[in-house]
Amino acid sequence: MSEQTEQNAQVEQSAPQILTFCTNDNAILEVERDVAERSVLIRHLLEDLPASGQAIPLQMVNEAVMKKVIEWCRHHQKDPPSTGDDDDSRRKTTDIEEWDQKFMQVDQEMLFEIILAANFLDIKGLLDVGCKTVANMIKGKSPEEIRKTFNIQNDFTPEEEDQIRRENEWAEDR
Amino acid sequence: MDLSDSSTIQQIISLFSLLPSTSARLAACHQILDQLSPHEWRDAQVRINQRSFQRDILGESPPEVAVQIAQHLGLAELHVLQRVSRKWHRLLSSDLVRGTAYQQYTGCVGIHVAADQFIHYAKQRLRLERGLPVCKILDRDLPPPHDSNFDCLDYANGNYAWLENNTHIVVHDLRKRKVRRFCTENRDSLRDVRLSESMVVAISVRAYCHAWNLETGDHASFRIPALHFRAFVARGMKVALGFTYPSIAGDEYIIYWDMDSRVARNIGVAPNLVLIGLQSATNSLSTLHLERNNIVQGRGQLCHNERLRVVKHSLENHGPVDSLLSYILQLPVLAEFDWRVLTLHNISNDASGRLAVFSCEPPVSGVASTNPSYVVVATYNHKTDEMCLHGLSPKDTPYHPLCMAAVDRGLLYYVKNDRGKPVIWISEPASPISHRPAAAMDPGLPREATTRVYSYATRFALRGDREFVLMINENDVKVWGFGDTAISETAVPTATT
Repeated sequence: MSEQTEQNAQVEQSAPQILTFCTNDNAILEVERDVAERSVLIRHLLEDLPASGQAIPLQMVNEAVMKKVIEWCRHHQKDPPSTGDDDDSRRKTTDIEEWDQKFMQVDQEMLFEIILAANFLDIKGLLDVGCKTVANMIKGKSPEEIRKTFNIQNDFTPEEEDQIRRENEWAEDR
Repeated sequence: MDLSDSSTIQQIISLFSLLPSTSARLAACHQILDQLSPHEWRDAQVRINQRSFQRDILGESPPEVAVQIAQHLGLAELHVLQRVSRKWHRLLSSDLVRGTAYQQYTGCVGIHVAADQFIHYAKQRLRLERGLPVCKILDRDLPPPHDSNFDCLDYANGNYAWLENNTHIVVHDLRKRKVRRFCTENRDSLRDVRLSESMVVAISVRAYCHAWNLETGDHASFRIPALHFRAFVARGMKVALGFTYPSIAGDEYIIYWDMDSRVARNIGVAPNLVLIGLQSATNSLSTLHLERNNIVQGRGQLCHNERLRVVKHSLENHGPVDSLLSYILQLPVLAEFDWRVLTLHNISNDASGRLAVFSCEPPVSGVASTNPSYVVVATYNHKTDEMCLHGLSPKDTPYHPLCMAAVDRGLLYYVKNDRGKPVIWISEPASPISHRPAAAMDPGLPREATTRVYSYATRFALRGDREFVLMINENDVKVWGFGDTAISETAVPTATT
């Protein structure tokens, strides 16, 4: 134990500090501290906990998703930190930069898990890109097309559906 | 398959399910796959294709995530997609989604919005998005402009103002059909008129800025250093003018004046000021700047990399002005570097401060070609304190001189040259249909003899907001109403609604 902390102290001075994480499927992942700290949850965790050198357990994330999350954090490592909640309202456009678009070209289950992980780990930028990607999949589609795209069962009775259709008829683009 | 087979299978499966790690499961899977015959592979392929990987992401997300997804959807989508499933219905009609959307569009923070109030709001917004006014107002009291100086026409909050005999400002209330006239004691000649919700402001040729309170008629004025300003906006009781001459405050500065305190302040700003955003509620000011930072790329070639930066200034303290935050607006047309972005100053009838217009030229290719340039329009919405960029490609053929008005959040009305005929179109960058014709707003203008792009034969101006949109030309003033507040008897319901 004491040997490990000594090692850690040495590492801190020379190379970037390496953190280890244990995902919920018992995989061990090593990440540079700077990269991992794009997650507000991890940053706060490290502030509260003294460096023990032990693997940090992540109960909500599996290995495959965590690898994607780390990939995103590494690419966006140099991004300026967000300036607080205020800039949130300013970026309402659904424009996504090219690298992020490619990064998000995954199946819907993976996309969903990335979004949940970003929400859990509190990585604002990643959550934002994930939500925009989903919004872009929804935009411009009819309810029927939405059901097909996301494999959603229409659980309304024909009467109920008809009533909701009539209530919102004004919003349909004719 | 006999009994011993099935018990062996059971054993393999239970052993597999007991594997502790993902890597172990994966290794086992791979080794089984390695033993498959071509026929078994084919069977596996069929099974893989049956696996869909689909997921009802919006429906299954926790509420805070679902709201964040929903806030990127338009008001029409929020209503139409309630029909997808019970989950979607519950989510999209929830207080949380409704409140977030309302705040996004109106800038009203922390107020509860009732379902019917929201639907009322959304209906009016959709009419604006699609160009479906509820009525057209025929008012003989609205004269066409005396000369072609459209800078003397303004609209705000149901009031339309124009200049009469160069000395009198006429303010016409479109709802009450009431007219008020304003002039200075000395009957100064005026130019450049601006209306805000609560006052009318005009620049005199003797370089004074005069302001009248619309309600009380109170008058006040302040000296301005020059008649050539970059931007001129009025909001609430505040006026801001942008100048590009050296002064104590810097090479580029804004004169900010508040009628309540009658104090003018000089605020130094970053170079290349193109637009001023003024909010009446807060003590802050947003500015938009065109940054030229050419970069050397690849084989020592100099590339253009112009960017638009928004800076928000706090005017809370009386000391030096703090800039609260600054960020870059993504240009809607530029995919890569080396586009030239130029500010177009005097091309638009609606320039001088209401919005900023840029021409974006693609990189010059080896062959001498006439690359058509894109038009980018920056608008400011004072309710949400947002700057928004609209991109008009050469195929959108905007009419020249450009004629456009920002009527609501992220919504720009412009006149398009439709094979020689001027028609009103609507740009909404956030919508999947980013450009569409205003369905029921025929300006009723004749097709011109030629389809030339630059036509100074006819000049128009567009003005407007959520309630009214006005199109002014040399012959008449057309007014379309989008709100359903009681309007005078001169209003004629439009056929399509």
